[in-house]
Amino acid sequence: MGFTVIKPGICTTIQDDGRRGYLGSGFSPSGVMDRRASHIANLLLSNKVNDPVLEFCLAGPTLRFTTDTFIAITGGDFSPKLNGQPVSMYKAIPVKRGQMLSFGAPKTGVYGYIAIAGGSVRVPEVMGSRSTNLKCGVGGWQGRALQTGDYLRFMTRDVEFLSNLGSRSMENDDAFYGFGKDELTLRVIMGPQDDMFTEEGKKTFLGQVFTTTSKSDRMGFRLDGPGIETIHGSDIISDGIALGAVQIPSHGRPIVMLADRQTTGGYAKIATVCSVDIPKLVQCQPGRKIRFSMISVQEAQALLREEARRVASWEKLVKRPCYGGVSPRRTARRLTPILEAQAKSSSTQKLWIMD
Amino acid sequence: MFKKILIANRGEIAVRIIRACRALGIKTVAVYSTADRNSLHTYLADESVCIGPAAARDSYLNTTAILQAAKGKGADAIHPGYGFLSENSTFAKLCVENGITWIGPSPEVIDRMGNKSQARRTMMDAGVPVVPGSARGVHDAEAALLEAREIGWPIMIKASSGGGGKGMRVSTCEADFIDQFNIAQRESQNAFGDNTMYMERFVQNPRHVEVQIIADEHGNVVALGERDCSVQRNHQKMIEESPCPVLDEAVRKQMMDDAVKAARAVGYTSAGTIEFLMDAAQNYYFMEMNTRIQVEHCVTEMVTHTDLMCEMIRVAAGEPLSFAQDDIVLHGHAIECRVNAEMPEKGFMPSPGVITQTHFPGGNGVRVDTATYDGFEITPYYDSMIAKIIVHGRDRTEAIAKMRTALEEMVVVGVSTNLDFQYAIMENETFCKGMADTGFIEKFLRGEV
Amino acid sequence: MDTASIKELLAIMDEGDLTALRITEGDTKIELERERAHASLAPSNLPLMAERVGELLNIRDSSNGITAGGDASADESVIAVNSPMVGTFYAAPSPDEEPFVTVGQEVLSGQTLAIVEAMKMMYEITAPAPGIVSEILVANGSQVEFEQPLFRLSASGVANA
Repeated sequence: MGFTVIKPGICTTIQDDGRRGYLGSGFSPSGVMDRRASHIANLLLSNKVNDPVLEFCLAGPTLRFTTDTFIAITGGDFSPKLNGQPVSMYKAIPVKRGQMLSFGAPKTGVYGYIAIAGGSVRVPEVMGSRSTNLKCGVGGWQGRALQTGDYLRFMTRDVEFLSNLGSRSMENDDAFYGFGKDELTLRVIMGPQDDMFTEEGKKTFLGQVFTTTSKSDRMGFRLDGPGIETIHGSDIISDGIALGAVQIPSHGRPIVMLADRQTTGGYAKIATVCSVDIPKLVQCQPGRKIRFSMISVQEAQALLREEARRVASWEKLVKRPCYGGVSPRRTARRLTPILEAQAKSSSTQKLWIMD
Repeated sequence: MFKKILIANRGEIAVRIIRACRALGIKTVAVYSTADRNSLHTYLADESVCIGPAAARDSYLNTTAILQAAKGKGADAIHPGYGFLSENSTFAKLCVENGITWIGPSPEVIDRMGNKSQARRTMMDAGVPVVPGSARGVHDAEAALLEAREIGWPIMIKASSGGGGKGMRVSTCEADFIDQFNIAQRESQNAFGDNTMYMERFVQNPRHVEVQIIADEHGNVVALGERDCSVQRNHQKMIEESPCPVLDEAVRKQMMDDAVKAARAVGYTSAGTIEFLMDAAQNYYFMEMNTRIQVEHCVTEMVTHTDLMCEMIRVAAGEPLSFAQDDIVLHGHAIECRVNAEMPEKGFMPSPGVITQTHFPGGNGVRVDTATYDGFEITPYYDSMIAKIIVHGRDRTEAIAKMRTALEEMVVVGVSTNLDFQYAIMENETFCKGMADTGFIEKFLRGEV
Repeated sequence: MDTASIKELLAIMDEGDLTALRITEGDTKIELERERAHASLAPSNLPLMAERVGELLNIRDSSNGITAGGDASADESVIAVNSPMVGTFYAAPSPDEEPFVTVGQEVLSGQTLAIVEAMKMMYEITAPAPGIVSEILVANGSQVEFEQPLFRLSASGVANA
């Protein structure tokens, strides 16, 4: 009981928050590109924020569900439809057995997320995570992207009720991502090799506009723009690469290293994008103008704490009691139509309900 | 024993009283307004008298009409139920003057405990713990401030003649005291026609724990355990249970003794309730005394295996209590949920209308007290209660399981109800752990528990 | 002792709610004892509640809702005079006087028809419009309730049906 893949979409993989602790062994952490979107999707369904989700890039999959459940779709807007009818994003949506989820024209963003209620899909945990490492072919769904004909089971089948359904919706996140805005500012912490760059180089980095390109994927996003000047070139003895690190190879244009990045690299890293801004970057379609703005480690940590508080307040929002929708009282749900039908038929005899 | 009792009330409590009278072989007279012509209590009683139009003040609060009906039908006693005239000492006195027994405490006692600041003083004199507060009523903000400094912040400013949350304001510090006092006083003047205020230390999110007592005219006073009524919204109780899930045995014993002491101090007879506020450390303070039978009396009946309504009638007829304090043991656990015709999603606005179909729960340890039937109309003139669902189990876990089953099964077609809301509370972790205090519902509505 | 006297004694027992009565009259001794079964087990002489509840549910079923008691005067020529309160109905100003009105009497608007007394307060029942008293519906001294029909008047100038 889960879904069958009718069309796989582009690079649809199972991801969670990543496989941590193995960078030193040469294992990329993988995980979702846009953690904010995946967390919200899970939160709307009262999943754990770290439960695995489906991540796709630009073209969403077509899935046929073989059981009742609830889903939530977040991230970029790719015109989700259920049985051909448009459905809302950032909202818990009921899905009935036999219905088909599909996607249409890409409108905003790059990565989309689908969370499934009841703890998501059933995939084995590998080295502490359910993320897919495409390069090594490990984790997630058989270590690869979804293909037509795949059948994935859910952790919980027949989820026909979610409490407080009316509370499980949020405004979309367009304001956060800056969709429709011309420029995007990414806040960065300087280093670890910022001292390898000239003052001019740093000024260029922090003052000029860069543009996202189509040469971007789960490994990293390449940006176009003015070259960034180094003092003695950008070769270093290879060291570890943190998520969001901005590498400046010999051509002088920045690459921001992301989920499936190589674990070590030999180019100087001028700065690191703070974690709360990474989702903004990954949702940039090619041609988007980017500026970098410097903040301190303390400020970056403060931003992270603020984000955590926001998540906590969202958790409360979806727990708010909400009525007028489907009643959680199953027996009453079953009896009510029987009794209502009685009222319509003009007989005054009481119906004995036999089960 | 009385021959005929007139029930000066309506709805489920009128039905309750009529049933008790019938069990005692007493004839009953119901009074009803034109809106209640087809009410269950009107039909269950042996005789009935239409006393006025729908508006309560012209019918169920119409003392002349009710007394005349009693005299006309030859009733020798009146049971006022709860609400309406049940704590109206003027009416009680009128009954007595007209040779009709008032089933409740004496008018003097009603008066004494109805005046909140006077009640406080009585309790203090009797040695019953009270919340630190003003010794007597105040009328002037400046004088009140002087007293407030003695009491210590935060302070609750309350109306002496108040109730139901009106004329109450909290002052968090000296800076906002005068303003809050003036606002509360104005509200009190408008709502109760009395600008006497008093002040108490504000206990943050206390539990509301009350003790049921009953006393006869032979000097016997019995305390029948406590009820925890902390699950309330805007001072309206939604769920009550007995015993209080966290109360230590030693504290319970002390509380019972204090309740009996309180009752004796005012010379109380009939059924009544002493309400306490209790903080997290199980310090409790007298809040007020309700000189009437209450909605939630059923909960106590279930755990003590008593019939408080029959007992109330018996003691009013001069008989001694049929049980002594030693006979009262709390067996298992009981919970009551009030099912109302209201819309929780619209701020619990009442939802009047015709109830076309009902299915009530039942079974082992499930009691339904209601005046609702298929085709009954809930009018906007009176309260919106549809039914009280009371369950009893051998322990709290079993009681909760039974309540979930009962609520889960109940169907009401035709009006909105708070059934889903009550059910959600029965599944809420904080409530199920017995950790709900008077701040619970507010937090629950915000998704914080 | 004859049956009439025994009946009298039984009446006395009932009135005084006595359990036993023993009378010695000369050589005749009569003992009447009521078997006082336990109060809760004595068959109730109160009519069955179920009957009355059944009545209630039938009314609800047949009328689809709440109907006001009493016929609505659809007939415009009939003026209904109902009691505005609970009380005792008095047809005359005082016990030794003539009643205010009799059947067939023509009355003017505002004319006193009767008095309803509640708690020593007298309330005059007056004709709402000119007409002829066609029916007096309650007996002198009986208890009346709110909106209970007291009189039917036929409007002046309209012949009685």
